Amino acid sequence: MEENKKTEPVSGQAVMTVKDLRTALKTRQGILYPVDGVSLEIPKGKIIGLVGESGCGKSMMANSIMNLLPKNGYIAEGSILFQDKELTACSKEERRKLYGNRITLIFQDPMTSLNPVIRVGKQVEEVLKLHKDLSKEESKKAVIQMFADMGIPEPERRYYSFPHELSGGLRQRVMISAAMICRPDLLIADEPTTALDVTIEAQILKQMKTLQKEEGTSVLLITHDLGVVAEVCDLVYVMYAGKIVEAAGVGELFHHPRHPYTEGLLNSLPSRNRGRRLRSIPGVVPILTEMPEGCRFAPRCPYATDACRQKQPQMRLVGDNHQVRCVLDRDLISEGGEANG
Amino acid sequence: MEQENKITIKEESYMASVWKEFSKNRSAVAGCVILILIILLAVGADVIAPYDPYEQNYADALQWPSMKHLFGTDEFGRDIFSRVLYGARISLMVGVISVAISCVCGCILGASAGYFGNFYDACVMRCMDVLLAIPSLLLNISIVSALGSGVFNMMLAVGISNIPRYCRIMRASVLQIKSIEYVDASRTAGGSSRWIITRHIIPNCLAPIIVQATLSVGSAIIACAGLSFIGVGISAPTPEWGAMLSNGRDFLRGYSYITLFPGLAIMITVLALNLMGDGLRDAFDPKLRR
Amino acid sequence: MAKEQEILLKGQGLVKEFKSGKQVVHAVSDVDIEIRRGETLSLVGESGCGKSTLGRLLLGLLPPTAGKIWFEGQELTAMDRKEFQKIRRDIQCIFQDPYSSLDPRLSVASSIAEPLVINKIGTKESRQKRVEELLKIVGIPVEYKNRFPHQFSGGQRQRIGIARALALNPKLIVCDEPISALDVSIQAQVLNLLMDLQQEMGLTYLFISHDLNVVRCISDRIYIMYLGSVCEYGEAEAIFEHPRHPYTHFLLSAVPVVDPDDRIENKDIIAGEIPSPMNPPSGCKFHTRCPYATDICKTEIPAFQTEEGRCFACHHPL
Repeated sequence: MEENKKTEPVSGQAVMTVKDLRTALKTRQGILYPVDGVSLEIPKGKIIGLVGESGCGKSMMANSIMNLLPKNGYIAEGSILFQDKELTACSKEERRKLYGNRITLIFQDPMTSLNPVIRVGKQVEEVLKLHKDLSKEESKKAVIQMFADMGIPEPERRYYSFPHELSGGLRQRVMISAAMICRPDLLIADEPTTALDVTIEAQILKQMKTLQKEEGTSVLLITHDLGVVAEVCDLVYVMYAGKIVEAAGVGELFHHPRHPYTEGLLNSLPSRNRGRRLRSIPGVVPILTEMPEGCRFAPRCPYATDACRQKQPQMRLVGDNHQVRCVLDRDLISEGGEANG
Repeated sequence: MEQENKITIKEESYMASVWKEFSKNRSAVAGCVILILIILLAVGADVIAPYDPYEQNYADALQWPSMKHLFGTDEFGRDIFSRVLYGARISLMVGVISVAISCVCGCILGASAGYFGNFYDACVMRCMDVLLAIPSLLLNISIVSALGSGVFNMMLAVGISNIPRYCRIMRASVLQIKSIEYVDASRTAGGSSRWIITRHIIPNCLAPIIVQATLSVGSAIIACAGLSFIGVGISAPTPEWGAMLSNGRDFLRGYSYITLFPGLAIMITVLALNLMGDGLRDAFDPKLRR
Repeated sequence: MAKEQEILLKGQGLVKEFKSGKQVVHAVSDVDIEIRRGETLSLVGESGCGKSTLGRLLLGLLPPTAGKIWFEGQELTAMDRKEFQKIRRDIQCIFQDPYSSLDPRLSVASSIAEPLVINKIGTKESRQKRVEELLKIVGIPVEYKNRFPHQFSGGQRQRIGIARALALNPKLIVCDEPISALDVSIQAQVLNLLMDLQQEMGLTYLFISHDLNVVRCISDRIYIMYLGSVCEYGEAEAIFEHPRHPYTHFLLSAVPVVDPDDRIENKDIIAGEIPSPMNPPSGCKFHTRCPYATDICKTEIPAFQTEEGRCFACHHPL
């Protein structure tokens, strides 16, 4: 297991560096940018959370990295550097070697991402066949070992199951097995547990985390659930309307949010509002065709000034590894948070 | 709240958006225009047709197309252009009425089967299976020969043999729609079965039915043409496209134009209807909209 | 129990079975439930626990296989259609999916007015007035009343759904996962609206949800369901503070907590998956996953025990 873990040495700290990525969609309303100048860095062996509400562009972000954009979509600007390779300039053959092998993806819906007429063991084995030179016996053994590692009961029997014979939780475990079997350097998980029940979600997250630690895999976890982020992530990027608005270590972000949107999201959680009215964020996420000119959160922001509405703020460093896209200079929770309720 | 309401959306009804989508589809609009043209020609046949479609003129029999007889003449010297024009009336009528028969019967049977389910559903669907099991041409011939030939009986025969199609489509969409939450909402408000079927279920099931209907007007015309061709549909002197084809087959070698023009007329009509039906299907299906 | 309130709706020995081919799905098996006037009662459980089916039984959308339901002392299950239709006005529903709970072909005004039309309440003009009033209550501008559902966002649609549920001035509203399809920031808006309405109109809610954070925030009492049976019920705070049934304990500890110091590695997580409702385990239904299970759990269905404002059915309570 240890021998084939890393095929090439990783240079520097980051497994992937995304810089000023703009993903465009050609539509009837013109060219829209669901991902609009996103920069993020995924350090080796860490779990990075990308949080945002629906329509903020977080799934588009995953699709840009995985080269899974819809027909009318393309990467307009920016770079995605994976180890030393520029993904936006890769040839098809190079990409084929990377995806499913060094970079893998898990989708939200385990029902539709498995082929219903092929046994699940074979489907996972297929990934190995594409990327690794193993004998039949070896690869089957590897799949069963992977199933066992993912906490699938009776892995030898499950190898021969069809997807419809498995529950949603087991299917997602199979998907994660397929994503992890080549020991990737980077795993992108797009809402991996959203469709599952809480007890199953907790099981799978725990298993994923254990496996990730053993293998030293980096994970980009895309989710809307701040609870999941708080439980598993090391670093968090908060995305709003196509832009990263705040990035910080998980403890820092949850204890000292600096962006009003992050603060609002945290405040609107029922678990932080026991027994009183919830402090909701007014309004809705702006739609792509009608992005506000200045700060994109300004129309919903309780602290917005005229300056906010006119000019887009830049990301700036406000603390140790803590970046925020807001001109406000104060610790919101400690000063304004309580009074705002 | 103020911000939430900022989403400015054009005020348009569901049907308006369907029409907008349809009018953007070029081939569908083309089909629609051709169809309107055919209908205008059929309606205006009295004015446009240069000859009486029944008038026999042996002196001019079997003339190849010329300026005098645009599409030529048949073995009795009747002007084929005039006959094709008048034939459009009967063919279109036959197509539309037989589709209407199967559509109405099929919808009622399918909607009730889907909504009430259980034993009634099983009975209706098995009857439909029986109808489907018999080849449609055979079924048509047996119905017409049982009832006696004639335009109305022919339409009835074609209509009956097509009932299962509508019944199945309707039943499938009713089954899908009756489990949607707005139906439950209406029921919690106290809505009766009749209210729910007429107000929520049928209007929401109509899209696939309308599409199927436009598509099958074409096939109904062809089925009627087939019956006339065999000789159990419309009898000899009446100008009908299928019957004209049938007449022309004896002269296929020497005088192919006799069959060519009514055949072309059927083809163009069916093509126009299919284009329109495809366009309607796309316009009604919200999933295909961008 | 601390305060004795009037019981608005009561279900006793409710059973619902669905036939699927030769097998029988035991969706709800022998559930007793009481909803008190003015409270928010939550039904909590994972998918397949029968909470939605129970909600539909109480709404009268499904006939129970066995058991009786009383509303304000009248037995619903013994009524004929006409009588039932009258009572039905008092029990309304808000649905989960804001995209499918409104008929796409009806304007917002006709959707909201539908309950009034069905029950032949008021004239055309008075109904329009009522619609405007309801739109104002839920915070949708009155000018939008002739728009169609596809022109609204998810949160706005849910508000429209609430307006429709309020049209008949109901006493009880069954909320079937009303916010689980919405974004976090919108969830808070809708929850606030629901709580405001309850205060203003004295509504009673039966709140069906899988989101324990939400449930804890709004409920007076909760019922925890597992595989068609209630395993623990009572005062919400008491149960959240100190669950006695092992399933409740594991369910609560599995909920992601928004606290970065509470990492998943240190959590007490239950193994196994929910058994199939076609073939539920004998005895205590939870025994297949329960770490405390003994032989008695496999054979004997535990009886309810009462303690400190809650009841639980377990042979080995925590």
